[in-house]
Amino acid sequence: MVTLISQWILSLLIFFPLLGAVLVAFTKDAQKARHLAVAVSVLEMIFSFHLIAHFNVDSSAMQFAQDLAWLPRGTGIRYTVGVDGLSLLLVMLTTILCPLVFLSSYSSIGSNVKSFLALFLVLESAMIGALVSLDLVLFYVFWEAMLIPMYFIIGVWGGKDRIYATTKFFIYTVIGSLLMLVAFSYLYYAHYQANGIFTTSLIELYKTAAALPAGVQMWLFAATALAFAIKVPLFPFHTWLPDAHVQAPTPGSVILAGVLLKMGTYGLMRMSIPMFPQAAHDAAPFMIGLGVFGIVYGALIAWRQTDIKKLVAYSSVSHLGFVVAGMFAFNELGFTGALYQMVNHGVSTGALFLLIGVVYERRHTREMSEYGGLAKQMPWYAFFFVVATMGSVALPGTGGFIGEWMILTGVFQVSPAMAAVAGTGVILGAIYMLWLVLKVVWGPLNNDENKKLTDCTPRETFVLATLSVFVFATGFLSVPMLAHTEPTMKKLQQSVSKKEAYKTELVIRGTSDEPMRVMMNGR
Amino acid sequence: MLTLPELGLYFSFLMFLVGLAGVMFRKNILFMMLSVEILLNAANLAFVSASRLTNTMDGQVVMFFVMAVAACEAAVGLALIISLYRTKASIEVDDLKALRG
Amino acid sequence: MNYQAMLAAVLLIPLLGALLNGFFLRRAPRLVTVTVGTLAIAVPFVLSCLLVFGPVSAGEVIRTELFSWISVPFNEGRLEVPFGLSVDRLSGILLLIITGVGSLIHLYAGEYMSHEEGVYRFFAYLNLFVFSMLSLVLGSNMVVTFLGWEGVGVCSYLLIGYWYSDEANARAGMKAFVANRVGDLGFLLAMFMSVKLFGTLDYSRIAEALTNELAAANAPLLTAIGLCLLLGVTGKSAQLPLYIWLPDAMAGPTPVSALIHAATMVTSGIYLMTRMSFLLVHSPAAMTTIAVIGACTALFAATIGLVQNDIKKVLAYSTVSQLGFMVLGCGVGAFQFGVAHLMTHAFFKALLFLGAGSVIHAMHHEQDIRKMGGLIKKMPITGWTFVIGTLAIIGFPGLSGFFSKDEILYYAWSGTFGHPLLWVLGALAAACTSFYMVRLTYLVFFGESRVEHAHHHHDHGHGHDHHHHEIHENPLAMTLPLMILAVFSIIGGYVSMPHAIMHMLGIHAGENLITQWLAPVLEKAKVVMTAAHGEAHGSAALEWGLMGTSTLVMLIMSGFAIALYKAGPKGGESIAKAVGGLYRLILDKWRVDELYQAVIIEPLKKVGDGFFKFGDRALIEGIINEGPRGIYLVTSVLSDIQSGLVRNYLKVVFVGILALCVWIFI
Repeated sequence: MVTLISQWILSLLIFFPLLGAVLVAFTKDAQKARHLAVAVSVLEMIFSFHLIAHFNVDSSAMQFAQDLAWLPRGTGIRYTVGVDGLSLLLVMLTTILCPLVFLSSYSSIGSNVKSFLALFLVLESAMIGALVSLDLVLFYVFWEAMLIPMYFIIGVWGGKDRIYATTKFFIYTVIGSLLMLVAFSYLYYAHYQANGIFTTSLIELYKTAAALPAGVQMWLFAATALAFAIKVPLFPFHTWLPDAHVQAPTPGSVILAGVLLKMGTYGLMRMSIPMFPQAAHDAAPFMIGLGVFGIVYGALIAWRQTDIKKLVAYSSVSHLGFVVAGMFAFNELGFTGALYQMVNHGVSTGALFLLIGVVYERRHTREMSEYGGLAKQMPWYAFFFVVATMGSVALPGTGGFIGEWMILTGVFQVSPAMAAVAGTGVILGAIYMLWLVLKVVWGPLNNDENKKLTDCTPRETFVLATLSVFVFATGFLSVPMLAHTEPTMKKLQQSVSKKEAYKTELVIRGTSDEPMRVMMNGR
Repeated sequence: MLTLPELGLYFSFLMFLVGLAGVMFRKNILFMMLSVEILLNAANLAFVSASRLTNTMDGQVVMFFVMAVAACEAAVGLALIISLYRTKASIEVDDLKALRG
Repeated sequence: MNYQAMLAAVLLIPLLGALLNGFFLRRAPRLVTVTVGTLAIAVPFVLSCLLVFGPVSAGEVIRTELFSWISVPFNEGRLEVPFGLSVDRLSGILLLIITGVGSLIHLYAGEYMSHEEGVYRFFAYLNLFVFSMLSLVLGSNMVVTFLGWEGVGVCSYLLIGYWYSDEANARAGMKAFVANRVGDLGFLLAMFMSVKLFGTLDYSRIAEALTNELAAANAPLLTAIGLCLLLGVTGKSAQLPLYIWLPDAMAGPTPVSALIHAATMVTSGIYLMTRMSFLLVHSPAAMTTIAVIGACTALFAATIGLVQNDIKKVLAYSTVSQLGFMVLGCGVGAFQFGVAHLMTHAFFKALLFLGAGSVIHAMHHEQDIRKMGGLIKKMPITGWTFVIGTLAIIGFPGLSGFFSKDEILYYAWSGTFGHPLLWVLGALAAACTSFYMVRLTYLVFFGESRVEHAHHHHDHGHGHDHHHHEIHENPLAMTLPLMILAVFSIIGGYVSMPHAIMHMLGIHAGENLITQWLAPVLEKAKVVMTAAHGEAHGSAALEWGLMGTSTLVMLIMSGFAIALYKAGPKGGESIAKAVGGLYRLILDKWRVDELYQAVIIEPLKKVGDGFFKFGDRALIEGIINEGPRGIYLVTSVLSDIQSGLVRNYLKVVFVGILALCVWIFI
């Protein structure tokens, strides 16, 4: 039974939310649809615990793999999915964040509830699909499929300038992904020319891509990295983010910051770097430079914002600069830190957007000057706000610290000067986040509107408390969490530093006599 | 001296020019519709005349098809004009520029 | 109960207290809150005593690892950072100070905050602070220390802004946190360099790894580590140029000022330098910088203290100045006396702050010393203990400050990295200290009463409804800590008795107590210093001379202060008028805050605005929006052809047919 589950678990994780979306769409009552969506996402979360429970910690291979025929044989396009240490944590982040987001949508989404929930479930399914797919075409399909629900989520349930924001978001992302598609097509033909067969298997194409001449690698690296850099978003491709965040409804912002942005950094670590190690090496100083500049740039701009959501959006630019800088340091510290920081940023920034949503629903404004002194009226809210802030400024004891510490230590091994500049982000982060807290939570309760505010409802408290627990849990339990990722990170580091092709394999847990059949790269 | 079929062909050419000019220069959709009818009838005349010149029946058969199509076209077209007038309160073609690039 | 478990308990009980008070006892009666809060510190104090006077004094180092915190493959090996605790003789001293003084202050705070609502928050923060401070001193590697290092910063932030309804308090908290963060960056960089150089962050492993050969080969890197650590120290221990947060931190409740901003948190820089002494001494440049920063801070802050009128502000600048002495002591290589002064300072400065708090409490939050006077008759215990504290801090012979400060001054002249000029700066600072402390004490407790009975200030917006006018002594819960601290302020200094006095008294133990106690910790540093620079070059005659000079200066300045302020606060006005501009400048704290505002913060804000307006909006958005607009301009010409009018299309068709006819027939 367990083997059977292990075999199908990823497909289940991908398609279960889709099924849920259909069910939600056919529910009559909006409130029932909400309950149903929560139930689906909670079930999904429970399913995903199977991954953690049965993940082989000592292996860097693609586990729980499934490799089925999909498009006609000659195209070499197959349905291949699998999870390794890199994607595992992000899949878990997604499945854990989604129920919380659905809970928050009870109050933040009032119109067209069913369509919203259905779209969101489609989004969840696409996100998990993109994280686990090991076939470039499959990946591309899920990658684009993430875009469509998000386009509608911002465009239909967003704020005043939602059409502008969502169009910008869409065009930005599509331009990037089309370039990525060009690069994929090139690889597809390059593999055919070299081996005489067509394939879109990521595992196969790692080898093809790494064998390409440096000049070609550079172009392909640039094309894929641009697609992912836009999604991250890395300076200077970030200007869609503040608009999208500001206009998006609370659940949209949370999932955008929590998971969607991570798709960019995940893509860099899954595709750009291991596929084109030579080019990645050549581009590393440039990418670290962009990341580090983005840290300072995003932080300084965030400081000067008066719109709370914009401030947090720019803080994301700053935080993800750390992630990019870390992964291009090409050592285990950098890779591990980058991955860990993705998770932490998802948790703490997700919490911040939820917190903003809580007061936005009550006051319908995001201007900092409208608030102040909320600690008196909403003590629990203030508590969660401070906790999320501390997570965001990477206080030791929170996960952010472990992530940033690893990243900075890793970058320091490569370039002390860059690490020092990036380190100023730690100071600037404290400045803008505490400025936000000062203006929103502390100070006198002057505004009469704010005197009527009520503290968090039990539902909000539950969501925020869960995230707060995660903020600290990631801060102390990094070793058990990162144990899952270590073999993968190690292998990634080795292959990249030797500029070799990244080698991995599919581990398919078969139903035959042998408990586990290792399928080597060929098929 | 021209024979009748030849005269018919020349006349159909003139009729076609009149119809074309009507479609090109009239601004009222109703008159444009009428002009289209003239165009169709010009074509019909050309078919019949050609049929007489070549001593075959093909042209006359096609003429009946065209008349049938013209009847349908007139019915659909008029219905469209009526519903257009209801929504836009105008059948001036200059007011209908949704396709402008 | 074995010692490892005891060590873990010492750290975790305050955390437990914080959680209990913060989450589970929110509605509990005040007495429960206070008892839990105090016990959470008092129990660890008892355990600490058992540890320190048991195995640690016997020379053992107790170690324990709670769990593995960070573990990453690194350079063929692994970078392991366990959540490790260790207590040796250095952390033992700190442990006793933190839990001992901490317990007294918790006891005091229970009474001091008796008019407050929701006092659970205060005790939760305070317990959390003690937890952070303990992890700072107990951490067996730099990362655990850093947890405490930043943790105390956060608790300080929360406690300074405890009365958050006044935005000024919250701002002061933020200022403290940000200034600390600047220093923390230094600590972080020092950590990165240590990882690079040693591949570990464990103090004992670093000490093992740092051989003389390695030090010689990496001299610039060691200097860089030293300077980065110094940056951390300037942030946390309020030295130039980052001291600016400490005076503002007085916005917090007074027990906080006593615990955090006098006795414990601000001294963590001294702890760190002593902990890393084996590394610092390899770099004369770093040591000299440390000494100079310390001496300059001591004098600089003392000058500001001369003219302040807020009782807590005077004590705040005095703290900065005293911390300067400690840093100076470390910088010249006399780490043990830096620690000794840390200890005596913890006693007498906590005493002074608690005394000030007692006065403020009795005066219903009046802090201006010009409105006090003659209070010793109404508050004898507070008054006399305050006098003892003052005598201790100005170095009155026989009291604790005399011994520890004079040892630092002596080594400033004659220590391994000492220089007579450093002594001059230190002695000047000491002279200023005598003046402002005597001025403070005299204006508050002696002379005519200038108390206004007309109105009461409610600065902090926490209403207490009893408006009884009589100023009277506070209850035992507040005076008992004062008396205990007064006793220690008198006797605490004997651990660092100067050689000359020991000889005179006929004690031939070789070294004084603190030097003996810390000898195992400072052994490596001493070896390095002796090897590179020879034995310290002092003599008994020099020691007596310096001691005599500073005592003389102290007596003169104290006498001068009393003479000047005999008639009340107006006594100083003649001098103030004489130096006019300089007086204003010092009263405005040398306008350093304004300088930072103008030179660092405003430009950074401008850069942020510039990035937003020109980088984001104009440049990037410009390209994003204008690029398509260019394409649109081109295409709009073409799109004009598509008028949407069927007849226009027909005209084109007509022309086309004509052209086709011409092409076919001609």
